[in-house]
Amino acid sequence: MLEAIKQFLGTTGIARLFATENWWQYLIMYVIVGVLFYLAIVKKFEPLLLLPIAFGMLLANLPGANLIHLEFFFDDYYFTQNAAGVAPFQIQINEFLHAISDIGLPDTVFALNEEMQYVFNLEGLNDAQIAMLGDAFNQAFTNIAYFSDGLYHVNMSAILSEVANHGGLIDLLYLGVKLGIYPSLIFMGVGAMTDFSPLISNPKSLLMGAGSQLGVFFAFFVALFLGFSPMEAGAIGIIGGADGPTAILVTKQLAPHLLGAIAIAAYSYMALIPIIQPPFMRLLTTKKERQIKMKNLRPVSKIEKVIFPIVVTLLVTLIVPDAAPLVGFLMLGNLFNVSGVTERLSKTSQNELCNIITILLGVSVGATANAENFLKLQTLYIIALGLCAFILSTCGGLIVGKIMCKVTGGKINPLIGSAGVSAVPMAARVAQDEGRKADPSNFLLMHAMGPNVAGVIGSAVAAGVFLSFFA
Amino acid sequence: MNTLLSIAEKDYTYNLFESGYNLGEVALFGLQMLGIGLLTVFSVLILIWVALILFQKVFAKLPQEEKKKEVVVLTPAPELASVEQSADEEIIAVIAAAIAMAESESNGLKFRVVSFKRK
Repeated sequence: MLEAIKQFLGTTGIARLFATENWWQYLIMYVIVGVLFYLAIVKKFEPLLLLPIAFGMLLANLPGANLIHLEFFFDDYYFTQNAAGVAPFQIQINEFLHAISDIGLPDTVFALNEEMQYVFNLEGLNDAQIAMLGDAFNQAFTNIAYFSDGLYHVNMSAILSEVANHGGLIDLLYLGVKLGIYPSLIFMGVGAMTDFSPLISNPKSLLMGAGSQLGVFFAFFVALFLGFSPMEAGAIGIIGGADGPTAILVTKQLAPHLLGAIAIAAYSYMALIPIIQPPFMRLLTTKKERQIKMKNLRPVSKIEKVIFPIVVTLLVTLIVPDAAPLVGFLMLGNLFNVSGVTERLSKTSQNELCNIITILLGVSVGATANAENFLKLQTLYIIALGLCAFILSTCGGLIVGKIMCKVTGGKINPLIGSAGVSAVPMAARVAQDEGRKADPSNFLLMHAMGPNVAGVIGSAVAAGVFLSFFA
Repeated sequence: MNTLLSIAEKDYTYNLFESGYNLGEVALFGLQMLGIGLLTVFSVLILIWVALILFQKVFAKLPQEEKKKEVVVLTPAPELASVEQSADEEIIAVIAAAIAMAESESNGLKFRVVSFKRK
C-alpha cells in the first residue's frame, strides 16, 4: 500500500518539477505568467491575445503534462540520438553512413557532436565532393529529408507523421503556426474589420506608414552586432512593425526557436502603445504642430472601396510575392466587407473565425515559451531590441509626418505619423488623444487611421523583404 | 538579388562574427538590408499612392453624380406628395397587418387603430 502511494506521489507534477535540475526556471516562468495574467486581466492590455498566450505558457511549463514537444518541429531532433543511442531517423542515417564510405569520403563528414547530434563537417571538401555527398543524402532520406546549403532539412510530411504519432494536444494546434495558417486567417479578420476609406481619401498617409518601418530595419542592423544570425535578426526586427500575425509568420519561417520570445515581446509592446508612444510624440513635435486641425476627408465611393483591395493585392504581390499570404488575406477580408454581397463571410471573418484562430494562435504561441527556451540572455536582447524597434518606428512615422507638415504648409498634423506603426486602431487612438491634449477641439482619429492602415500594408511588405532574402 | 549583399547566403543561419566576417562586413550587410528594405517599402507604398490618385481622378466624381440624381427625383413638389401618400398607405397596410396577426395570436384581445402620426 505504502509502495503504491509512493509510486503515485512520484508521478505527480510536483515530484517531477523538483526532480529536474532546473526547477527554479519553472518557478520564474510561473512569475512571468502571473505578470502577463495581471497585464491582461487587471490592466486590460490586449487581453484577447495576452490571456491565451499566458495560459499557453502555463500549460507548456507544467512538468509531466507533455502537451507540447517543440523539438518535433526542429530538424535537429530527427538526427539526435536519445539515451538508448537511437535517433528518429537512425535507419536512414546508417544507410547514409554506408553510402559515405562507398563514395570514398571520410566518416567525419557526417558524425555525432558532443550533444549526440549528427552534423555535417564539410571542411576540406571540394564542390564536386559536396555535390556527391548531397546526392547520397537525398537518396538515403528520400521523401523525409533533403540536403541544401551544407545542412539537412526535414520534410513537412515527416514532421506531420511524428506529431500525429507522438504529439500532444498543443503540438497539433501548433501546426497552424508552423504551416502559416493562423497569421493569414487573423489578417483576413483584420481586413474585414478595417475601413480603408481614410487611406483611400488621403493617400499621402501611405508615406507615414512607410516611414514607420524604420525601426524594423534598424533593429535588424543592431541585432547582427549582438550575435544574432541574419535570419534571427530579421525575425527580431519585424517586432518594430507592431503587428503580431506578421511577426509570427516571419519568425516561424526564419527563427522558430525564438517564436515565444518574439510573439510575447510584439504583443506586449502593442499593448503598451499608450505608454511607449506619447513621450516621443511630444519630444518630436511642437505644441503648435500638435494643434494643427486637418481638413475633413473627402467621401469615398463604393467602387473605390471595392477596387482598392484588388489593386493593392496585385501591386504588392507582383513586387514582393512573399508578402502575399499576409496582404492577400488582409485584402480578401476587406473585400468581403466592402463588396456588400458577402455579409455572412465578412461577419464570420470578423467574429467567429477570428476569435477561434485567436484562441488557437495565442495558446500555441504561448506554449512555445517553455523555461528551457525562454530563460536565456537572448530573450532579454529580444525584448530590448523589440522596444528599440518600436520606438524607432514611432519616430520614423513622426519624422515623415513633420516633413509632410512642412511641405504642405502646415496642413498635416505630424502626430498622425506615429500611427504608422500598424497596431490598429490603438496607435490611431493615441494620436487622437495627444491631439486633444494640445487642443480639446481637435479630432485626429479618422486622419490617423490612414497611416495606421498604411502601416499594416507597410509591415507586411517589410516582412516580405525579409522572407524573400532569408526564407 | 542576393549577390548584391556582402554576406554569403549559406551564412544566413549563423552568427556572422563566428563565421569569420569582420565588423565592417557585418555593418555593410546591415546597411545594405536597411537601404534595400526601406527602399522597397517606400516604392511599394508610393506605387499604391499613385494608384489611389488615379482612383481619385476616375471615381471621385461618381458620388456627386449620384447626389445630383437624387436631387432631380426629389425636386418636383407634386411627385413628392404622391410618393409620401403612397408611402403612408403602405405603412397603414403594414401596421394593420401586424395588428391582425397579433389579434389572431392573442386570445380575444382586440386592437383598434386610433390615429397615425408622422414623426
